[in-house]
Amino acid sequence: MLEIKDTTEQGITIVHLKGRLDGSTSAQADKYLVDHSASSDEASILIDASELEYMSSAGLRVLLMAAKRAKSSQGQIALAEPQEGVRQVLEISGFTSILDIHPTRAEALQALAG
Amino acid sequence: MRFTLKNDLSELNRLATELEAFGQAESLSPQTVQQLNLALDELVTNTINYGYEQPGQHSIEVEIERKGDVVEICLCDNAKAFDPFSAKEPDIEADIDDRPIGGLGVFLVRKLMDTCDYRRKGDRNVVQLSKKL
Repeated sequence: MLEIKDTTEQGITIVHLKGRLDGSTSAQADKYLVDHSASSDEASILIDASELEYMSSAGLRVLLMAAKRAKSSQGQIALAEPQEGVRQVLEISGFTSILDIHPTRAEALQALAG
Repeated sequence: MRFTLKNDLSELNRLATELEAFGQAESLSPQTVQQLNLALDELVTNTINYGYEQPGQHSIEVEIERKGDVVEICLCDNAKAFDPFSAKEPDIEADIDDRPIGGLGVFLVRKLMDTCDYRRKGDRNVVQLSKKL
């Protein structure tokens, strides 16, 4: 189960992921992010992972594709507040070097706004 | 503990529920449960997505047991022969443009488990994993 909702703060879209991002929910997350980048002039996205309990490599794939899309449209993508398990997956797979990851949402917002 | 999953990605939820129950029964930390879940999730997802040439329902058997300070897992399916541990490791230092999309799942399994073995037994794939606690 994955719940996705978005809000806007300081002109930046924040996509909030709640639950589990795995092979059964990754298509839903991917479609959401693709639709957002297609319908918005704002190329930057903040992904709020504070309530993301679990993520497998299917989730890494979604994040990588979103980061590639953002890069090709001169945008940025930042991930805020990953929980320990999710952070470990990001670290093991070397995603900490290609994604902008912040311990708090405020810091992530600041990085994207700045 | 032993359970069977169908070749449907919605079964990942049940995998998580079964492992929570196992973790509780064996007094494992939530972190260990999540690591076991991740390893099984990656292998089961690959089998469901790529393992079956014939459509229709198939079963994936999972056996998980704690022996002292080691958790042993055996995963068994009748999908086409495939050794998940034969794949080359992905380059996890490449920059974003060259970063491969695939191959990360099995890489995570190798990193999270202490031993990973594959063998083909008759028409079945048998994967054995172990993790020290």
